[in-house]
Amino acid sequence: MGAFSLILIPLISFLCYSVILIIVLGSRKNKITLSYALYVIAMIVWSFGSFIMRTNLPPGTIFWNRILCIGLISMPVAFYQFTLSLTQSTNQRGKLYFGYISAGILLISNFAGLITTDAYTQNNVFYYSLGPMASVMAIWSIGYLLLSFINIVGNVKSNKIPYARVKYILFGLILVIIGGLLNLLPSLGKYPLDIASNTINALFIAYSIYKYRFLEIKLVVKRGIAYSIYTLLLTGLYIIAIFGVQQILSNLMGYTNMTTTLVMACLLAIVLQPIKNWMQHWIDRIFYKENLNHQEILRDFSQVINNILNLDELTDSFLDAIRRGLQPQNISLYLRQRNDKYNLYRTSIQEKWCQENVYSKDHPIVQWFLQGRTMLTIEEIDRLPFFTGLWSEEKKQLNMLDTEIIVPIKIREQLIGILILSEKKGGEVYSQEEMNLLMTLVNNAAIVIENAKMYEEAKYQAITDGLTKLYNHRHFHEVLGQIIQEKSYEVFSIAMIDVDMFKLYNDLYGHSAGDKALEKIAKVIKKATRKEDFIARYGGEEFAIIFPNIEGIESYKAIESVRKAVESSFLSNESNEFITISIGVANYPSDGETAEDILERADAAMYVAKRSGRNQSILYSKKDEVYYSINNHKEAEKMQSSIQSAYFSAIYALAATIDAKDHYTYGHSESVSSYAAALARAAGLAEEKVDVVKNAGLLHDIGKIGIPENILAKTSVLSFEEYETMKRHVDISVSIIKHIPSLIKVIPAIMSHHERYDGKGYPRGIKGENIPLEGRCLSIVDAFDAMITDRPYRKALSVEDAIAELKKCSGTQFDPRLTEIFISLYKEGEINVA
Amino acid sequence: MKNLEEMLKKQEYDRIWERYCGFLDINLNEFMVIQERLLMEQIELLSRCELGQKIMGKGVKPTTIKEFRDTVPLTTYEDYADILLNKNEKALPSKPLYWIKTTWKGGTHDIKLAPYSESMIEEHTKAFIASLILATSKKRGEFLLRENDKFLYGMAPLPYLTGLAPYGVENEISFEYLPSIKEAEHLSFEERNKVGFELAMSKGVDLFFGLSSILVKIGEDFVRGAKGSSKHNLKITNIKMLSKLIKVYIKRNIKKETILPKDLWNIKGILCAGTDTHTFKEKIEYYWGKRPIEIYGGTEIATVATETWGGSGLTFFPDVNFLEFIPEKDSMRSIRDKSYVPKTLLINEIKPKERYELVITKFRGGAFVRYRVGDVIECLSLDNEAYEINLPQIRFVDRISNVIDLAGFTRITKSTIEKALDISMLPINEWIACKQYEDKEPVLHIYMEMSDQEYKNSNVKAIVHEHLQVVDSDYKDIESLLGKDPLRITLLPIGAFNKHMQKNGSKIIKMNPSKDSIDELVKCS
Repeated sequence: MGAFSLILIPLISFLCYSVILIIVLGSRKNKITLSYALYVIAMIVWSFGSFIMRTNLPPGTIFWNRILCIGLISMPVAFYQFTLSLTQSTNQRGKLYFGYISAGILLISNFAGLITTDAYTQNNVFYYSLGPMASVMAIWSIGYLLLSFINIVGNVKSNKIPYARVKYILFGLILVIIGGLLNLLPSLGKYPLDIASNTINALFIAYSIYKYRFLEIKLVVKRGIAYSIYTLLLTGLYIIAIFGVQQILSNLMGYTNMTTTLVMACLLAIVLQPIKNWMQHWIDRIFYKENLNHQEILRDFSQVINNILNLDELTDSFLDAIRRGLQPQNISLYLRQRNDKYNLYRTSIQEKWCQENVYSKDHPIVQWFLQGRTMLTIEEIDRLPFFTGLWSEEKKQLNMLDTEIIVPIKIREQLIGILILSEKKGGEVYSQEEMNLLMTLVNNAAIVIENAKMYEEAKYQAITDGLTKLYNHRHFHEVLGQIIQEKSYEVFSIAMIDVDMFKLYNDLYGHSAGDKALEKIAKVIKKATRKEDFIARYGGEEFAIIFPNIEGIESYKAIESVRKAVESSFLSNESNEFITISIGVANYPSDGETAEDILERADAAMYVAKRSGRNQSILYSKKDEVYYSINNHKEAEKMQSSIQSAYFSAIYALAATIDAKDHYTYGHSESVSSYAAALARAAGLAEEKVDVVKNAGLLHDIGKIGIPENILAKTSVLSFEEYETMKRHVDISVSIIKHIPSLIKVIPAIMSHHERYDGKGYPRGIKGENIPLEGRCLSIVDAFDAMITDRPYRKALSVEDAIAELKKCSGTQFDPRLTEIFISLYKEGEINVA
Repeated sequence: MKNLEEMLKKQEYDRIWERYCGFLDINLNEFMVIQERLLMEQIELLSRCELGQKIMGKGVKPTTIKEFRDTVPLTTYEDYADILLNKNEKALPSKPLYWIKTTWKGGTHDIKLAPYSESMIEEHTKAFIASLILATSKKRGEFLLRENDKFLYGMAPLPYLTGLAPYGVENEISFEYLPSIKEAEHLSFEERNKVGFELAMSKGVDLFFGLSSILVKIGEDFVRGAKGSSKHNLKITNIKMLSKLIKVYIKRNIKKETILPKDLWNIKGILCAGTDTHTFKEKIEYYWGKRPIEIYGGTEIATVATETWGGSGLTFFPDVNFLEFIPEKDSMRSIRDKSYVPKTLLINEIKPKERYELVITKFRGGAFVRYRVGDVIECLSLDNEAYEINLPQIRFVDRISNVIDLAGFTRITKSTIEKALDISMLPINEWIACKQYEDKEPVLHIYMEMSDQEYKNSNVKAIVHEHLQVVDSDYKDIESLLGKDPLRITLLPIGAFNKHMQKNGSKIIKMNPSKDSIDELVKCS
């Protein structure tokens, strides 16, 4: 090893450590940075002493050697303290304190000449003789370095600190220990190998700081600092080079003068220019490599967003750009749905909008961003009281996504999505440059994602039924045509579904309830079918399903399960909202090879289901076709009519039985029927409606068949529970009548004859004009007849008293206009009271 | 996520304060937002399990706070006994990790069990750490709690709730428990405190958590020991202890002053629990040189509220329970009239200076829904302006009037006293019992009328005391652990109760009648 390099090594080491100290002191102070700074200062003292010692500067080699020894003695214990801070070990304070005390003793020994007794430099080579404490110091130093090593390894083994984060520090430490051991060999000890290994160690630590940021040093090294450092290094190199070349020349020529020195300096400047460029290039590579990549990523993404309107492709490109630029382990994208909820959006699977991972508007993370705040980290979620209301399940979801940072995707003040990034693949912390890239990508993506969503939305609306969210009629035909044309399936089935008595349902419960029922049916059908089945709202209360790859009995089983699902979902409903469906199914290609044929046949099967008593599933067969061709509609209707007639007689008989059972004066139902017909006619109802009211009057109390006789016959006031039981007779009436198609029209009147004009009646508590007119008529005449009739619990009122009572309750219990008409009718003698 | 110890090592004190004590910075609206959100989570969990369906009704799943209070009835432990006492885990909203036990005085069984899920333990731990931090703080954001603090843990081990905290805390921070938790589990309550203080003598102590009455007792014993001939077994293990010992020597032998525990230890924080804590605070401060922080909780309800450095009252944790309050008069009426269903108020509806019975719904998959805890709290103020806490400040008053809780040791019910008097064979006609304070310490005062007037008060007292010890071992502990005599007896002449009834038209209530009624009864004699 040449004398020149013996000076150069400590000088480089000194420069490296000085640079590191500048960075460390410019960073946030905490235990770790302070202990690291101590170690670096020790190394600076060591390398400085070593450098100056070899230059023969006064007061002399032995003085600088003792300065060197201050650093040499302080370094192991300072490094040990640094590793303790790094691994957060608090149980080794005794060893640390002992280290400092013994270091103090060694320092005293140093100045007492017990470590180096003599030292001098000859031809730039350093010669020394050791004192009695030198070997103690060497063993002591190696001991503390080994302790540092054991401490780090122990923490890695017990998983307290990841190996990846400390591996460079460990390598460096091994080098330092080897360097220290070499000092024990006098032949090698005269060379600064130990300081060289320490310099490499310093560089390893600096790299660890840069890569893993475990010291939490703000390593957004400014370009200015970086260039200052490299200029410092280069100047040092330049001076050393001039110094070295000058000496070589001096040795060769025996002399040097100013001219030769200047020429030499110019030549060296030219020679060093490539080295300068090389160093600048590497600084850019090390510190600004990301920036170069980031520009490329941004350019690529800009090109993509200008050419794509498909949401899937766009989000894929967006996420891909983030993956390239930031290298997160995981990345998740939540996008706002129509219902203002934010669903996890996954392009890779069929069910893109994940239904399990949804953030509602009151979700604390959504609220955080809606209140105008920016990025969020998982640490903040854990720490801030704002997130105390997070559900355990929501916390688990965030953990499952390995959440590290959460970024809002906003357009102006609107939150259109949320991006969740996990830790980086290498475990590093995201740099400021990476965050800048992320924000740029997010800002660029926001508007295009929203546009793509709007485009998708428009596409979706064009093929979807707004109410049920099923596909619409037009799209059904498009898809069916496509399936047949492209022969997508060898076999498939088509089911036509019609909701039974839906008009009546609408009349009874109103159109809003009808819409809700259709929504519910759609959901039930969706749940009862397979993912690959294609469901559409075909018309008002009609639905259609394409069942791919099934036919025959399998298709029958499929529709039967749909029918049963609808039946049971409404049956379990406590209110009497009866809804069933009739389904017909036909198969391709056996029942038809064109869309028209197969639809017609499914429709025919559905009609068979309707005419066979509804709430049925029918598989199309040739037999059905025959049924239709031979038995024409008239004949079928005739048959139905005779069945209904038989039912009708039975119902009237039942009504009479009820009159008897209720201990009413015989003929209450007939009286109500006749009064109601008169009132309805006088109120201007068409004759057809008058008939409905008349029949409703006859049957209005038919449900009392299901009420225990002890309640019907009770002479005292009914208890709360008894009254509740009594109220059920309305629902029972409907349950009986709904099975007789020709009587269905009376249901609205019967269902509402105990409703009150002020909304305090039952069963539904509807008020005013919302109560069907027929029901309002029945309500008045039913009450009137009840008042003028002897009841088990009271005597009959006089007609005048009953009329007065009607007047009193007009506007509250009864429709005032109809009450007035009824009273007029009575006064005109149109109401014959028996 | 970093735990507390890692944060302490990195000196992230602001972040620690925000994570654990940040709830003190929220306002009432934010408190309610948290309450509503976590209630909805709990309803979701309840609606999926047998217990929830039993309590709320099948298919019932309220979507608002109002709907929840309108549809779900108030409950007591009887409503849960069959599921919880049989440890029917499948019927619960979430899987329990621990079953926490307590005695059920006056109940249908001897014990009550409460399940604690993983999330509940996390919340409980967080709340406990918050209280510890507050116990070591003098002002907002500043605290002395550190890793490896010496912790004198004078509370019952698992399966009692007080034993749960060390297990949750061990994932967050290491303390040096005196004695260690494992060792403590094999020691009786008395031994544990004794061993703990012996260790504290040699090692010093930074933190204390225990019953306030115990801490006072130790202080009193210490003073007695210091005055007497017996020397404290002090060991010098570090320089700090040596300097303390010199100071103590000077104070005792030169200044001739009484030595208090505070002369020996610099306790960073004292955390106290138990009924009557407020009455012991001054004494604790006198002996130990540190005002204790009161923590309020219970087996079924976990850690409900904590006192802060301000000392003006306790603040509820927003994320442990959904809180409802029954005004005291409605609560009393419901005790008298079982058919009366009282209405509840929410925390944003309570008023200062009013007392309420607490009703909770456990969050995070807990079992209890609209549960009547049996505790009475008083709202002291709606905020603490001086310390910038914008949440109601409360005080734990006592158990509801039909239970007499003495210093957190025992809960004496009507049946406890009836049983004791029964087996005492004393010829007692009538009696009433109430809790009174003497020199700021709680006592049980029984007023009785005997058919035989020959008995002396002191004899009767001795007999009743002996039999109360027989029927209630916790009552016995008051004497054995605190060295206190908690019983007072007043013998009334024959006819006193009858006279009182004639005068008032109704019998005086047996447990905790009002002071006026008692005065009136005494006047009738």
